[in-house]
Amino acid sequence: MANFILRKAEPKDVSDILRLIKELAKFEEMEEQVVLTEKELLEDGFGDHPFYHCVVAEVSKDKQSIEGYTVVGFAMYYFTYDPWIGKLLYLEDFYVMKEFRGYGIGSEILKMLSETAVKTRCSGMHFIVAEWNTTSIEFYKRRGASDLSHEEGWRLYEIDKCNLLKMSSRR
Amino acid sequence: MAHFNLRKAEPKDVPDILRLIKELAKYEEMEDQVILTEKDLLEDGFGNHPFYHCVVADVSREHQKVEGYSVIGFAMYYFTYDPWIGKLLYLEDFYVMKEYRGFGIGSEILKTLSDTAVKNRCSSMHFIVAESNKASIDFYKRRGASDLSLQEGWRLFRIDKKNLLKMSAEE
Repeated sequence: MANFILRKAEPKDVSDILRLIKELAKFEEMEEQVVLTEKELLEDGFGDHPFYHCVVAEVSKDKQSIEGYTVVGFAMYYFTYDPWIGKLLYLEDFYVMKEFRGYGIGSEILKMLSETAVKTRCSGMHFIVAEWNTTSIEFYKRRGASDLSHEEGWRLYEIDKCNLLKMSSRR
Repeated sequence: MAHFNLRKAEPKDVPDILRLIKELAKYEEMEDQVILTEKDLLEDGFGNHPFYHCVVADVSREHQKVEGYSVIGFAMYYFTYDPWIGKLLYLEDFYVMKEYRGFGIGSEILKTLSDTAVKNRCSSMHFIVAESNKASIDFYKRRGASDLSLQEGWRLFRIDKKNLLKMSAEE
């Protein structure tokens, strides 16, 4: 089966996007951590100022999944800025439903994102990968990805809401 | 000396922003890696769709310690998107000139950014720190920052322009 199309997500895709976000979170054993709602995805992705962009993979009705879904994969990305080189494409989420893997959908999505990055004059694509996710690491390394955490020693930090509020209310 | 002013960067600040970006890169021994120009910074930060935002710290003429410079610190940030929780504020660059440290400018900048994050309904602030940079790590940890690379095992990856072009040209 090679009959799929890739297209820019539309407002109508929001419930499928949320479904796939949750499926990917489940794979990472973090499903209950998804607090985002369809309403937020709609406002944040399809309002005046989109905070993210999505590409979805869709199959025809006759090839739909067991549960009846035709949107079978997605990638969520946005643009970031490196003060040394400028614009970058940041790949945030990337997932293809298990039963639709092995058909090149993932490769095609990454190819499309590469084109988007080049067209918008980005210097590169960044993304994070869990260190235990060897399958994904290999998928990316085959396409020339390098581990900046390893090469350059960068560690990702977070100041959560509670500590932000603490700081913003300090005298 | 506590006479400094924090404000949103304006187009006229672009030369100072580039100067400070280069100073920070120099501190990381990477000054020759800064290929961004004032023209890029102007288009990318002050056009129809800003790819980054900046807060600058400036001092009045009589308080200048370094001849000719009134803009003596900055923070560059943008908004990113977490598919589980929504908007985040991403702190990309953060630097105060050496002669102006110890006066609370860095703290005030971080406080301003915290206000911005909360006002924009961001769930948290993310940033990367070089694992060798103990002084910065302590500065952030004192404000409640946690090392997600340590806690969650995330590694930052990059696919550079050369490999993006390779992928986008593949059949």
